[in-house]
Amino acid sequence: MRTLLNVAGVLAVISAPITLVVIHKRTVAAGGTITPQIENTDRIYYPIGRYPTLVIPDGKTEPVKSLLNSRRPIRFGDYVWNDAGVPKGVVWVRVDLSRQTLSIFRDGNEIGTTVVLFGTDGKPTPRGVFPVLAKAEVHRSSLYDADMPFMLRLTGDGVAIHASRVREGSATHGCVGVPFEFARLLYTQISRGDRVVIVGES
Amino acid sequence: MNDRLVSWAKSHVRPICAVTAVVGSLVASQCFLSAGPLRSAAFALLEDPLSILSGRSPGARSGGALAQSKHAYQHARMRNHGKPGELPSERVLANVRSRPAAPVPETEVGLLPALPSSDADSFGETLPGIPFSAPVSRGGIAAAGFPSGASGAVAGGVGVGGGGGNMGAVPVVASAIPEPSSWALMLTGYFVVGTAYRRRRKLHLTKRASNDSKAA
Repeated sequence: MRTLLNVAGVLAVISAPITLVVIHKRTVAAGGTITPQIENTDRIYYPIGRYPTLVIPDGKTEPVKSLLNSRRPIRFGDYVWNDAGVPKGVVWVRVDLSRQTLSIFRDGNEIGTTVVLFGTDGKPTPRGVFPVLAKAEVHRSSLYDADMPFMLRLTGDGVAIHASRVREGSATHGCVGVPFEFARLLYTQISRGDRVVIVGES
Repeated sequence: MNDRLVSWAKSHVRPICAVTAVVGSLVASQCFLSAGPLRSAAFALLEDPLSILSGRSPGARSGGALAQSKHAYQHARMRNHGKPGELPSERVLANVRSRPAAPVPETEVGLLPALPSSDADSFGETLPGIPFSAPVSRGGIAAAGFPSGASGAVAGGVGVGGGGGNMGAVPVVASAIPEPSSWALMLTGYFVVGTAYRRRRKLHLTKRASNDSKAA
């Protein structure tokens, strides 16, 4: 009896951490992403297999695995960025004109968000799904004779996402303006062909 | 070392340790295995993504937000009317290329095309509505601006349409670098001046020479 208990005790002591590690790895593999952690205050995770979706104008939907835990209104010119622990994957951008916000998702996880400027009613920003046509770290608009750093071109007629002086009451000629630092981060994440979805009341 | 292990094995603490470890590991694994349902119950409280996005949004853009105005102007408006004046309206600046052309100075004589050949009576019949007070020089200076083949009716139509001015197009800006034709004209001028100077000097010299010979 003593020997049995002895063996059981040793086995349990050894197996407990191993079991934990194995289960953890399985969870990660099943989700293909990070393990959900409610306790993490920087991120709001959704349960694996029950991801909510965001509707895209072309009729498709995109799953949302996690969102940045930023619930208070972002001020003009500020942004939130946190891609710690988010794996590599498909990147897409959602610009919400009626909310005046932009969110970038990597592998279904939101890694950055900010307040944007967009076109006036006279020169509105187009709605739809736009693959990024071209990138330019340094760009000077030939149309407006103005610097547009970290430009991500969306349409052939000049609409792009670029760094702007984002402040309340301003607007653009149809482009999407984001704060400079955010534009730099966005530029590093997006490659040509990544989709930018612009939604909002027309 | 061995003694210590043996003493630990013989102590009564060991079975308690073993049982605790077994129970602990079981509980831990159960927690992990049942993580899904437990978590989903907690996640059910989470809102949908759009409401979270709404929470961080500064709200929709208001209509008047686009009409920026300097404080001085706002004060002036307040002072004049005693209350905020008419609602500000959105201003969309035109881009550089479609900037409106500079206003073309309109002078009656310069813009109204005089007819090269026809007399004043027939002109009056073709376009009776035009107050035609400017003196018509028949085939004179005013007609020089027109191509010679233009018929009277066509010329009148063009003239009414704005004098063939630079309407709505890109304003003509003089370039800092002269065009080839300007260069040619300038060089020709220099040649003419130079030739004249040389000829005059030669003439002067020959005159002086002839005078000298006469004097001698």
